[in-house]
Amino acid sequence: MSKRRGIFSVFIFFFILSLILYGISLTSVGQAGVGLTEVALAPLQEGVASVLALSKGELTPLQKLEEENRLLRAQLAKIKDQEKEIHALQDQFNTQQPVSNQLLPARIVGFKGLIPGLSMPEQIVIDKGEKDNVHVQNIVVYKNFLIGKISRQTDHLSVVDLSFKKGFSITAITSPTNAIGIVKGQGQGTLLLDNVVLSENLQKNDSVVTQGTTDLDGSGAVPGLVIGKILSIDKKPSSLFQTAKLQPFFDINHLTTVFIIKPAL
Amino acid sequence: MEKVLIGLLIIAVVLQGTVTSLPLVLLILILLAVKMRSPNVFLLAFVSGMVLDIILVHPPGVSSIFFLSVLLVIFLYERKYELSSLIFVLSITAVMSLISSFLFPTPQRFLQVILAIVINGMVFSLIEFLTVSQKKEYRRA
Repeated sequence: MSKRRGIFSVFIFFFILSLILYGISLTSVGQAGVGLTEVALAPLQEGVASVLALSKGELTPLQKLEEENRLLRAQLAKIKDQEKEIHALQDQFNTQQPVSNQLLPARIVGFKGLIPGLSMPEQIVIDKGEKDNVHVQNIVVYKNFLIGKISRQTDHLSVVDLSFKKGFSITAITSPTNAIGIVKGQGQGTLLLDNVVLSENLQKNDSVVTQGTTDLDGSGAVPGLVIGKILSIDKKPSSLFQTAKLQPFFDINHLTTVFIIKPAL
Repeated sequence: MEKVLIGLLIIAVVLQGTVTSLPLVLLILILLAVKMRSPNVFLLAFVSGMVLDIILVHPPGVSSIFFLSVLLVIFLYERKYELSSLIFVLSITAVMSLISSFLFPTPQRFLQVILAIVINGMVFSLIEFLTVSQKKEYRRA
């Protein structure tokens, strides 16, 4: 009986201590303490994450070709975008200057996947937080590929929801057919282009880019970020919309650094 | 054996904090509770939970509270069930990792639970095997 009482007292002690620390963490003093611990632990996290990225080894010739193919597709989408811009410029003599954005490099310090290297992570942890003027909903990119959005953060760390995470959605446009739809994350490295009206023309292997959701304060996704390419199309005459399965262009398992788009002040 | 498990707990904190969403810390804490049966496990649960929360950008204390509650449940069953049996370890692992996957949402919930059961079953069997071998050697000596 006394052992049981002892266990209860220890449990109650640590339970209350956890609650107190949780309460303190909500205050500025507590956040500073958590921030210090994050800074202290960051090199360890970074080291383990880097070792994991390196352990995947050199890319095979096929992987190199695939990577090159992805880059070329991204360039093609960019050229098509530029073509459209030139046409727009020809149509009107003066054009609005798009809001300039700053890119903030961030190291990946954590992958949140089931089995490292085998299953696709749906979230990553990066070493930039509120102290670096990074905010929730900021867009994260690599080259001109959309990686995801920041979903939560502390002073020194942020969690990024990758574009293929379930629950992720963003308005998008296909290149070069200009069909508008909403890209939704499906988990396991797949995306779905949904809400595309039947009259729009979708084609296999077309690139899908962000349509642009920039707000007045400069936050949100800039237009033209490459989301993925169309793998298959599901078009039924009886449905209101057609859908397409997409494949993202980036392999998160091989990345160690990403970039946060900070809104221009 | 406790020292080995504490070492495994440190490795589990690092791995769960960086590369996997498998509830490795929970698994090792279950094994520690079953093997040690001492209130000291609460201290390990508290510390590992706090570190994990900081690394995973969770509100500090949330994981600790969950781990402490799991350990309390295990100790409450101490009189009713034989804690050091494979069946008990597997069932508590299944239930607690399922609850954990709801509390801290992760992809492929059920695959995660299955993997957790397999991992804990294997580690527990290995520990039992090593303990029995040690006892045999001790008797011989």
